[in-house]
Amino acid sequence: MGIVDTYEKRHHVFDYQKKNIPDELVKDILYKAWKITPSKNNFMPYQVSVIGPNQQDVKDEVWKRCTFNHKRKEEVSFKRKDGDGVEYKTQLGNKTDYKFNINRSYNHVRYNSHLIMFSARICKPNKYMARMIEKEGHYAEQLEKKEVDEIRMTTSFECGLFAAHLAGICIENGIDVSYNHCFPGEANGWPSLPFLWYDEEKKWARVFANMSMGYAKYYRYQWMIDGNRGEDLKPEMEDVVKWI
Amino acid sequence: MSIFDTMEKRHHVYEYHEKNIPDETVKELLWKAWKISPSKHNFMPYKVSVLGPNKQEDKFKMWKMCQYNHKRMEEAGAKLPREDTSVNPYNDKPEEYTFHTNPAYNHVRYNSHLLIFSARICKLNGYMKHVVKKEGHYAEQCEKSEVSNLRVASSFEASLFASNLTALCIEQGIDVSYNLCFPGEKEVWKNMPYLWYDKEQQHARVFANMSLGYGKYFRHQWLKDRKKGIGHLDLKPEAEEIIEWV
Repeated sequence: MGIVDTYEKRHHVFDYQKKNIPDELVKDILYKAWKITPSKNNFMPYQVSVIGPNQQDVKDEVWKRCTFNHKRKEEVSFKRKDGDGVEYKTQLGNKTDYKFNINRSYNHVRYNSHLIMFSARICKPNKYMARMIEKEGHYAEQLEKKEVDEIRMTTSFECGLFAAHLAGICIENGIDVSYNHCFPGEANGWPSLPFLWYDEEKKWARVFANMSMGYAKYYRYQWMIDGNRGEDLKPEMEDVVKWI
Repeated sequence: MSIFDTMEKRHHVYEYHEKNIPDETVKELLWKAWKISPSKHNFMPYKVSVLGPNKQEDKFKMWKMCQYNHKRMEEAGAKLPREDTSVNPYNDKPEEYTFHTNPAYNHVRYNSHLLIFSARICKLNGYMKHVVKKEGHYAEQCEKSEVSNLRVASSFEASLFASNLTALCIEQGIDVSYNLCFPGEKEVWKNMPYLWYDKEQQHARVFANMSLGYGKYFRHQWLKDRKKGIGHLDLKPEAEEIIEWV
Protein backbone atom coordinates (compact mmCIF):
# COMPACT_ATOMS: atom_id res chain seq x y z
CA MET A 1 0.00 0.00 0.00
CA GLY A 2 1.30 3.48 -0.85
CA ILE A 3 1.96 6.21 1.70
CA VAL A 4 -1.10 8.26 0.73
CA ASP A 5 -3.42 5.24 0.89
CA THR A 6 -2.08 4.34 4.32
CA TYR A 7 -2.34 7.76 5.95
CA GLU A 8 -5.69 8.55 4.32
CA LYS A 9 -7.14 5.82 6.53
CA ARG A 10 -6.31 7.71 9.72
CA HIS A 11 -9.26 9.41 11.41
CA HIS A 12 -9.63 10.97 14.83
CA VAL A 13 -11.35 8.48 17.15
CA PHE A 14 -14.10 9.45 19.57
CA ASP A 15 -14.73 5.94 20.91
CA TYR A 16 -12.60 2.84 20.78
CA GLN A 17 -13.89 -0.74 20.96
CA LYS A 18 -13.19 -2.53 24.24
CA LYS A 19 -10.93 -5.03 22.47
CA ASN A 20 -7.28 -4.37 23.34
CA ILE A 21 -4.20 -4.65 21.15
CA PRO A 22 -1.89 -7.45 22.33
CA ASP A 23 1.12 -5.98 24.16
CA GLU A 24 3.47 -7.98 21.93
CA LEU A 25 2.09 -6.31 18.83
CA VAL A 26 2.43 -2.85 20.42
CA LYS A 27 6.03 -3.68 21.35
CA ASP A 28 6.81 -4.75 17.80
CA ILE A 29 5.25 -1.59 16.34
CA LEU A 30 7.10 0.65 18.81
CA TYR A 31 10.38 -1.09 18.01
CA LYS A 32 9.86 -0.46 14.29
CA ALA A 33 8.99 3.20 14.90
CA TRP A 34 12.13 3.60 17.04
CA LYS A 35 14.23 1.92 14.35
CA ILE A 36 13.20 4.20 11.49
CA THR A 37 13.03 7.51 13.36
CA PRO A 38 16.01 9.83 12.91
CA SER A 39 17.29 12.16 15.60
CA LYS A 40 19.73 15.05 15.70
CA ASN A 41 23.08 13.64 16.78
CA ASN A 42 21.27 10.38 17.55
CA PHE A 43 20.11 11.67 20.93
CA MET A 44 16.34 11.09 20.79
CA PRO A 45 15.81 13.59 23.64
CA TYR A 46 12.35 12.32 24.49
CA GLN A 47 10.69 9.48 26.31
CA VAL A 48 7.78 7.43 25.02
CA SER A 49 5.70 6.28 27.99
CA VAL A 50 3.32 3.43 27.22
CA ILE A 51 0.24 3.14 29.39
CA GLY A 52 -1.38 -0.21 28.77
CA PRO A 53 -4.88 -1.59 29.30
CA ASN A 54 -4.36 -2.21 33.03
CA GLN A 55 -3.44 1.38 33.88
CA GLN A 56 -6.87 2.99 33.76
CA ASP A 57 -6.15 5.21 36.77
CA VAL A 58 -3.19 6.75 34.95
CA LYS A 59 -5.28 7.37 31.83
CA ASP A 60 -7.98 8.96 33.99
CA GLU A 61 -5.39 11.30 35.47
CA VAL A 62 -4.02 12.30 32.05
CA TRP A 63 -7.55 12.91 30.80
CA LYS A 64 -8.23 15.11 33.85
CA ARG A 65 -5.15 17.17 33.03
CA CYS A 66 -6.48 17.67 29.48
CA THR A 67 -9.94 18.80 30.54
CA PHE A 68 -8.44 20.97 33.31
CA ASN A 69 -6.23 22.66 30.74
CA HIS A 70 -9.08 23.22 28.29
CA LYS A 71 -11.27 24.74 30.99
CA ARG A 72 -8.67 27.10 32.36
CA LYS A 73 -7.62 28.24 28.86
CA GLU A 74 -11.17 29.25 28.08
CA GLU A 75 -11.78 30.83 31.48
CA VAL A 76 -8.54 32.78 31.50
CA SER A 77 -9.00 33.95 27.94
CA PHE A 78 -12.40 35.42 28.71
CA LYS A 79 -11.87 36.11 32.44
CA ARG A 80 -14.98 34.15 33.37
CA LYS A 81 -15.59 31.65 36.12
CA ASP A 82 -17.06 28.23 35.50
CA GLY A 83 -20.81 28.38 35.15
CA ASP A 84 -21.19 31.96 36.31
CA GLY A 85 -23.72 32.38 33.54
CA VAL A 86 -22.58 35.90 32.77
CA GLU A 87 -22.42 37.06 29.20
CA TYR A 88 -18.98 37.59 27.78
CA LYS A 89 -17.38 38.53 24.51
CA THR A 90 -15.94 35.81 22.32
CA GLN A 91 -12.97 36.19 19.97
CA LEU A 92 -15.42 37.10 17.24
CA GLY A 93 -16.81 39.95 19.31
CA ASN A 94 -20.31 38.55 19.85
CA LYS A 95 -21.76 37.91 23.29
CA THR A 96 -22.61 34.49 24.63
CA ASP A 97 -23.02 32.66 27.93
CA TYR A 98 -20.09 30.66 29.16
CA LYS A 99 -20.71 27.09 30.18
CA PHE A 100 -17.84 24.66 30.24
CA ASN A 101 -18.58 21.39 28.48
CA ILE A 102 -16.18 18.49 28.51
CA ASN A 103 -14.95 18.07 24.98
CA ARG A 104 -15.73 14.68 23.54
CA SER A 105 -12.53 14.87 21.50
CA TYR A 106 -10.62 13.90 24.65
CA ASN A 107 -12.45 10.60 25.19
CA HIS A 108 -9.75 8.74 23.33
CA VAL A 109 -7.18 9.84 25.91
CA ARG A 110 -9.15 8.14 28.68
CA TYR A 111 -10.55 5.07 26.99
CA ASN A 112 -8.19 3.27 24.66
CA SER A 113 -6.12 0.15 24.43
CA HIS A 114 -2.76 1.89 24.90
CA LEU A 115 -1.95 5.52 25.59
CA ILE A 116 1.43 6.85 24.48
CA MET A 117 2.87 9.98 26.08
CA PHE A 118 5.82 11.86 24.59
CA SER A 119 7.86 13.83 27.13
CA ALA A 120 11.33 15.27 27.69
CA ARG A 121 14.28 13.05 28.62
CA ILE A 122 17.82 13.88 29.67
CA CYS A 123 20.17 11.99 27.38
CA LYS A 124 23.54 10.33 27.75
CA PRO A 125 26.11 10.73 24.96
CA ASN A 126 26.89 7.69 22.84
CA LYS A 127 30.57 6.85 22.49
CA TYR A 128 30.98 8.89 19.32
CA MET A 129 29.37 11.96 20.84
CA ALA A 130 31.33 11.56 24.08
CA ARG A 131 34.45 11.81 21.96
CA MET A 132 33.15 14.87 20.11
CA ILE A 133 32.55 16.54 23.46
CA GLU A 134 35.90 15.53 24.86
CA LYS A 135 38.04 16.27 21.82
CA GLU A 136 36.19 18.99 19.96
CA GLY A 137 34.31 20.70 22.78
CA HIS A 138 30.91 20.06 21.24
CA TYR A 139 28.14 21.33 23.50
CA ALA A 140 25.36 18.77 23.74
CA GLU A 141 22.27 20.54 25.05
CA GLN A 142 20.40 17.26 25.20
CA LEU A 143 22.46 16.22 28.23
CA GLU A 144 21.53 19.22 30.34
CA LYS A 145 18.43 19.60 32.50
CA LYS A 146 18.68 23.36 32.23
CA GLU A 147 18.36 23.17 28.43
CA VAL A 148 15.11 21.19 28.32
CA ASP A 149 13.04 24.35 27.95
CA GLU A 150 15.35 25.83 25.34
CA ILE A 151 15.21 22.79 23.08
CA ARG A 152 11.59 21.79 23.59
CA MET A 153 10.43 23.18 20.24
CA THR A 154 12.89 21.02 18.32
CA THR A 155 12.40 18.05 20.63
CA SER A 156 8.70 18.28 19.92
CA PHE A 157 9.48 18.19 16.20
CA GLU A 158 11.50 15.02 16.73
CA CYS A 159 8.65 13.43 18.71
CA GLY A 160 6.37 14.20 15.78
CA LEU A 161 8.59 12.15 13.50
CA PHE A 162 8.37 9.16 15.85
CA ALA A 163 4.61 9.61 16.22
CA ALA A 164 4.04 9.84 12.46
CA HIS A 165 5.98 6.63 11.88
CA LEU A 166 4.16 4.92 14.72
CA ALA A 167 0.83 6.04 13.26
CA GLY A 168 1.72 4.70 9.81
CA ILE A 169 2.77 1.31 11.13
CA CYS A 170 -0.36 1.11 13.29
CA ILE A 171 -2.59 1.83 10.32
CA GLU A 172 -0.82 -0.87 8.31
CA ASN A 173 -1.75 -3.24 11.14
CA GLY A 174 -5.41 -2.17 11.21
CA ILE A 175 -4.94 -0.17 14.41
CA ASP A 176 -6.40 3.31 14.84
CA VAL A 177 -4.56 6.18 16.52
CA SER A 178 -5.48 9.67 17.67
CA TYR A 179 -3.43 12.61 18.88
CA ASN A 180 -4.02 15.02 21.73
CA HIS A 181 -2.34 18.37 22.24
CA CYS A 182 -4.42 19.89 25.00
CA PHE A 183 -2.62 19.52 28.35
CA PRO A 184 -0.68 21.72 30.75
CA GLY A 185 2.46 23.12 29.17
CA GLU A 186 4.14 23.98 32.47
CA ALA A 187 7.00 21.92 33.82
CA ASN A 188 5.26 21.67 37.20
CA GLY A 189 1.91 20.60 35.73
CA TRP A 190 2.46 16.86 36.25
CA PRO A 191 3.03 16.35 40.00
CA SER A 192 1.01 13.11 40.15
CA LEU A 193 2.67 11.33 37.23
CA PRO A 194 6.29 10.68 38.29
CA PHE A 195 7.13 8.55 35.26
CA LEU A 196 7.07 11.76 33.21
CA TRP A 197 9.58 13.73 35.27
CA TYR A 198 12.91 14.59 33.69
CA ASP A 199 13.87 16.35 36.93
CA GLU A 200 12.92 14.13 39.83
CA GLU A 201 14.03 16.59 42.48
CA LYS A 202 11.79 19.36 41.18
CA LYS A 203 9.16 16.94 39.83
CA TRP A 204 9.27 18.62 36.46
CA ALA A 205 8.05 17.19 33.19
CA ARG A 206 7.58 18.55 29.70
CA VAL A 207 4.91 16.75 27.73
CA PHE A 208 4.92 17.10 23.94
CA ALA A 209 1.91 15.04 22.88
CA ASN A 210 -0.42 12.20 23.75
CA MET A 211 -1.36 9.50 21.28
CA SER A 212 -3.93 6.79 21.82
CA MET A 213 -4.07 3.42 20.12
CA GLY A 214 -6.92 0.94 19.72
CA TYR A 215 -9.62 -0.38 17.44
CA ALA A 216 -12.06 2.39 16.64
CA LYS A 217 -15.81 2.18 17.11
CA TYR A 218 -16.83 5.77 16.40
CA TYR A 219 -14.88 8.50 14.64
CA ARG A 220 -15.04 12.28 14.83
CA TYR A 221 -16.04 12.58 11.18
CA GLN A 222 -19.07 10.35 11.89
CA TRP A 223 -20.02 12.61 14.80
CA MET A 224 -19.77 15.60 12.48
CA ILE A 225 -22.10 13.91 9.96
CA ASP A 226 -24.50 12.57 12.63
CA GLY A 227 -24.87 15.99 14.23
CA ASN A 228 -25.15 17.74 10.88
CA ARG A 229 -22.32 19.96 12.05
CA GLY A 230 -21.20 21.15 8.66
CA GLU A 231 -17.83 20.91 7.07
CA ASP A 232 -14.75 21.22 9.22
CA LEU A 233 -12.17 21.80 6.51
CA LYS A 234 -8.42 22.28 6.54
CA PRO A 235 -6.99 25.55 5.28
CA GLU A 236 -6.31 25.42 1.55
CA MET A 237 -2.89 24.11 0.64
CA GLU A 238 -1.93 27.57 -0.64
CA ASP A 239 -2.50 28.97 2.86
CA VAL A 240 0.06 26.57 4.28
CA VAL A 241 2.59 25.99 1.49
CA LYS A 242 4.25 29.15 0.18
CA TRP A 243 6.62 29.16 -2.76
CA ILE A 244 9.16 31.90 -2.13
CA MET B 1 6.22 -0.97 0.20
CA SER B 2 5.66 -0.79 3.97
CA ILE B 3 6.32 2.36 6.00
CA PHE B 4 9.20 0.55 7.70
CA ASP B 5 10.90 -0.47 4.45
CA THR B 6 10.33 2.99 3.00
CA MET B 7 11.72 4.93 5.95
CA GLU B 8 14.70 2.63 6.40
CA LYS B 9 15.95 4.11 3.13
CA ARG B 10 16.26 7.62 4.57
CA HIS B 11 19.78 8.79 5.35
CA HIS B 12 21.13 12.19 6.26
CA VAL B 13 22.65 13.81 3.16
CA TYR B 14 25.97 15.64 3.22
CA GLU B 15 25.97 16.43 -0.50
CA TYR B 16 23.26 16.42 -3.12
CA HIS B 17 23.66 15.89 -6.86
CA GLU B 18 23.37 19.08 -8.88
CA LYS B 19 20.33 17.68 -10.67
CA ASN B 20 17.18 19.37 -9.41
CA ILE B 21 13.76 17.90 -8.76
CA PRO B 22 11.16 19.33 -11.17
CA ASP B 23 8.97 21.92 -9.40
CA GLU B 24 5.88 20.04 -10.54
CA THR B 25 7.01 16.90 -8.71
CA VAL B 26 7.67 18.89 -5.54
CA LYS B 27 4.25 20.54 -5.81
CA GLU B 28 2.55 17.17 -6.14
CA LEU B 29 4.43 15.73 -3.16
CA LEU B 30 3.58 18.78 -1.06
CA TRP B 31 -0.07 18.48 -2.03
CA LYS B 32 -0.16 14.84 -0.96
CA ALA B 33 1.61 15.63 2.33
CA TRP B 34 -0.89 18.44 2.98
CA LYS B 35 -3.76 16.07 2.18
CA ILE B 36 -2.75 13.32 4.62
CA SER B 37 -1.40 15.41 7.52
CA PRO B 38 -3.80 15.83 10.44
CA SER B 39 -4.06 18.94 12.57
CA LYS B 40 -5.81 19.90 15.80
CA HIS B 41 -9.11 21.54 14.83
CA ASN B 42 -7.88 21.51 11.23
CA PHE B 43 -5.86 24.68 11.83
CA MET B 44 -2.40 23.65 10.56
CA PRO B 45 -0.77 26.50 12.54
CA TYR B 46 2.41 26.42 10.49
CA LYS B 47 3.56 27.33 7.03
CA VAL B 48 5.95 25.58 4.72
CA SER B 49 8.15 28.03 2.82
CA VAL B 50 9.60 26.45 -0.31
CA LEU B 51 12.92 27.73 -1.63
CA GLY B 52 13.47 26.33 -5.09
CA PRO B 53 16.66 25.94 -7.12
CA ASN B 54 16.79 29.66 -7.95
CA LYS B 55 16.74 30.81 -4.33
CA GLN B 56 20.38 30.25 -3.54
CA GLU B 57 20.73 33.54 -1.71
CA ASP B 58 17.89 32.70 0.67
CA LYS B 59 19.32 29.24 1.28
CA PHE B 60 22.65 30.83 2.10
CA LYS B 61 20.95 33.11 4.62
CA MET B 62 19.39 30.12 6.35
CA TRP B 63 22.70 28.24 6.33
CA LYS B 64 24.34 31.27 7.95
CA MET B 65 21.69 31.27 10.67
CA CYS B 66 22.50 27.61 11.39
CA GLN B 67 26.22 28.35 11.59
CA TYR B 68 25.62 31.38 13.77
CA ASN B 69 23.49 29.37 16.15
CA HIS B 70 25.89 26.45 16.36
CA LYS B 71 28.83 28.76 17.02
CA ARG B 72 27.17 30.79 19.73
CA MET B 73 25.82 27.66 21.44
CA GLU B 74 29.26 26.10 21.58
CA GLU B 75 30.91 29.32 22.68
CA ALA B 76 28.34 29.79 25.41
CA GLY B 77 28.54 26.11 26.29
CA ALA B 78 32.32 26.27 26.63
CA LYS B 79 31.92 28.81 29.40
CA LEU B 80 29.22 26.95 31.31
CA PRO B 81 29.66 24.27 33.91
CA ARG B 82 28.01 21.14 32.56
CA GLU B 83 25.68 18.98 34.58
CA ASP B 84 26.18 15.51 33.22
CA THR B 85 29.42 15.66 31.30
CA SER B 86 32.44 16.02 33.50
CA VAL B 87 34.75 16.25 30.51
CA ASN B 88 34.87 19.49 28.59
CA PRO B 89 38.27 20.58 27.37
CA TYR B 90 37.28 24.24 27.16
CA ASN B 91 35.58 24.85 30.51
CA ASP B 92 38.73 26.34 31.97
CA LYS B 93 40.02 27.90 28.75
CA PRO B 94 37.09 29.01 26.57
CA GLU B 95 39.40 31.37 24.68
CA GLU B 96 41.07 28.34 23.10
CA TYR B 97 37.88 27.09 21.52
CA THR B 98 37.95 27.23 17.71
CA PHE B 99 34.75 26.96 15.75
CA HIS B 100 34.62 24.53 12.81
CA THR B 101 31.89 24.70 10.20
CA ASN B 102 29.87 21.53 10.52
CA PRO B 103 29.51 19.63 7.22
CA ALA B 104 26.17 18.32 8.52
CA TYR B 105 24.68 21.70 7.52
CA ASN B 106 25.81 21.55 3.88
CA HIS B 107 22.45 20.21 2.84
CA VAL B 108 20.76 23.41 4.02
CA ARG B 109 22.86 25.46 1.61
CA TYR B 110 23.09 23.20 -1.41
CA ASN B 111 19.99 21.27 -2.36
CA SER B 112 17.26 21.18 -4.96
CA HIS B 113 14.55 22.58 -2.66
CA LEU B 114 14.72 23.80 0.91
CA LEU B 115 11.59 23.79 3.06
CA ILE B 116 11.32 25.95 6.15
CA PHE B 117 8.55 25.20 8.66
CA SER B 118 7.50 28.22 10.70
CA ALA B 119 4.56 29.62 12.67
CA ARG B 120 1.44 30.94 10.95
CA ILE B 121 -1.59 32.83 12.26
CA CYS B 122 -4.71 30.90 11.29
CA LYS B 123 -8.21 31.85 10.26
CA LEU B 124 -11.35 30.11 11.50
CA ASN B 125 -13.04 27.74 9.09
CA GLY B 126 -16.84 27.69 8.92
CA TYR B 127 -17.23 25.07 11.61
CA MET B 128 -14.79 26.68 14.05
CA LYS B 129 -16.45 30.05 13.51
CA HIS B 130 -19.67 28.49 14.75
CA VAL B 131 -17.93 26.88 17.76
CA VAL B 132 -16.26 30.16 18.75
CA LYS B 133 -19.41 32.19 18.25
CA LYS B 134 -21.92 29.88 19.91
CA GLU B 135 -19.88 27.93 22.43
CA GLY B 136 -17.23 30.52 23.29
CA HIS B 137 -14.34 28.29 22.29
CA TYR B 138 -10.98 30.06 22.43
CA ALA B 139 -8.92 29.38 19.30
CA GLU B 140 -5.30 30.13 20.24
CA GLN B 141 -4.15 29.43 16.71
CA CYS B 142 -5.74 32.67 15.53
CA GLU B 143 -3.87 34.91 17.99
CA LYS B 144 -0.40 36.38 17.48
CA SER B 145 -0.04 36.58 21.24
CA GLU B 146 -0.31 32.77 21.51
CA VAL B 147 2.36 31.78 18.98
CA SER B 148 5.02 31.40 21.66
CA ASN B 149 2.74 29.36 23.93
CA LEU B 150 1.76 27.13 21.04
CA ARG B 151 5.18 26.67 19.52
CA VAL B 152 5.79 23.23 21.00
CA ALA B 153 2.48 21.81 19.77
CA SER B 154 2.80 23.56 16.39
CA SER B 155 6.27 22.14 15.93
CA PHE B 156 4.89 18.64 16.57
CA GLU B 157 2.21 19.19 13.95
CA ALA B 158 4.70 20.53 11.43
CA SER B 159 6.68 17.39 12.00
CA LEU B 160 3.73 15.18 11.04
CA PHE B 161 3.67 17.03 7.71
CA ALA B 162 7.45 16.70 7.33
CA SER B 163 7.41 13.01 8.10
CA ASN B 164 4.64 12.31 5.62
CA LEU B 165 6.46 14.35 3.00
CA THR B 166 9.63 12.40 3.68
CA ALA B 167 7.89 9.09 3.08
CA LEU B 168 6.37 10.40 -0.15
CA CYS B 169 9.78 11.65 -1.32
CA ILE B 170 11.48 8.34 -0.61
CA GLU B 171 8.77 6.55 -2.59
CA GLN B 172 9.84 8.72 -5.54
CA GLY B 173 13.59 8.13 -5.04
CA ILE B 174 14.10 11.62 -3.59
CA ASP B 175 16.34 12.11 -0.56
CA VAL B 176 15.59 14.47 2.32
CA SER B 177 17.45 15.75 5.36
CA TYR B 178 16.36 17.66 8.43
CA ASN B 179 18.04 20.50 10.25
CA LEU B 180 17.13 21.58 13.76
CA CYS B 181 20.02 23.89 14.52
CA PHE B 182 18.92 27.52 14.14
CA PRO B 183 18.02 30.35 16.49
CA GLY B 184 14.93 29.70 18.56
CA GLU B 185 14.22 33.38 19.21
CA LYS B 186 11.46 35.13 17.33
CA GLU B 187 13.35 38.43 16.87
CA VAL B 188 16.29 37.22 14.79
CA TRP B 189 14.67 36.66 11.38
CA LYS B 190 14.62 40.30 10.23
CA ASN B 191 16.19 39.55 6.86
CA MET B 192 13.78 36.74 5.97
CA PRO B 193 10.39 38.51 5.82
CA TYR B 194 8.55 35.56 4.33
CA LEU B 195 8.94 33.79 7.69
CA TRP B 196 7.28 36.48 9.79
CA TYR B 197 3.97 35.69 11.44
CA ASP B 198 3.98 39.23 12.83
CA LYS B 199 4.90 41.68 10.10
CA GLU B 200 4.82 44.70 12.35
CA GLN B 201 7.22 43.26 14.90
CA GLN B 202 9.08 41.20 12.25
CA HIS B 203 8.76 38.10 14.43
CA ALA B 204 9.10 34.51 13.20
CA ARG B 205 9.20 31.12 14.89
CA VAL B 206 11.06 28.51 12.89
CA PHE B 207 10.36 24.87 13.70
CA ALA B 208 12.62 23.00 11.26
CA ASN B 209 14.38 23.01 7.92
CA MET B 210 14.15 20.16 5.48
CA SER B 211 16.12 19.81 2.25
CA LEU B 212 15.13 17.79 -0.81
CA GLY B 213 17.30 16.50 -3.61
CA TYR B 214 19.11 13.48 -4.96
CA GLY B 215 21.75 12.36 -2.45
CA LYS B 216 25.36 12.00 -3.63
CA TYR B 217 27.20 11.62 -0.34
CA PHE B 218 25.60 10.61 2.95
CA ARG B 219 26.54 11.10 6.57
CA HIS B 220 26.95 7.36 7.13
CA GLN B 221 29.56 7.35 4.35
CA TRP B 222 31.31 10.36 5.87
CA LEU B 223 31.44 8.60 9.24
CA LYS B 224 33.17 5.66 7.55
CA ASP B 225 35.51 7.81 5.47
CA ARG B 226 36.39 10.59 7.90
CA LYS B 227 35.78 9.20 11.35
CA LYS B 228 37.56 5.89 11.04
CA GLY B 229 37.57 3.89 14.24
CA ILE B 230 34.84 5.93 15.91
CA GLY B 231 32.14 6.51 13.29
CA HIS B 232 30.51 3.17 14.03
CA LEU B 233 30.01 4.31 17.63
CA ASP B 234 27.45 6.95 16.64
CA LEU B 235 24.42 4.89 17.63
CA LYS B 236 20.93 5.71 18.79
CA PRO B 237 20.04 5.05 22.42
CA GLU B 238 18.55 1.58 22.78
CA ALA B 239 14.78 1.33 22.31
CA GLU B 240 14.45 0.51 26.04
CA GLU B 241 15.95 3.89 26.94
CA ILE B 242 13.28 5.73 24.97
CA ILE B 243 10.24 3.51 25.38
CA GLU B 244 9.07 3.00 28.92
CA TRP B 245 6.15 0.77 29.80
CA VAL B 246 4.40 2.35 32.76
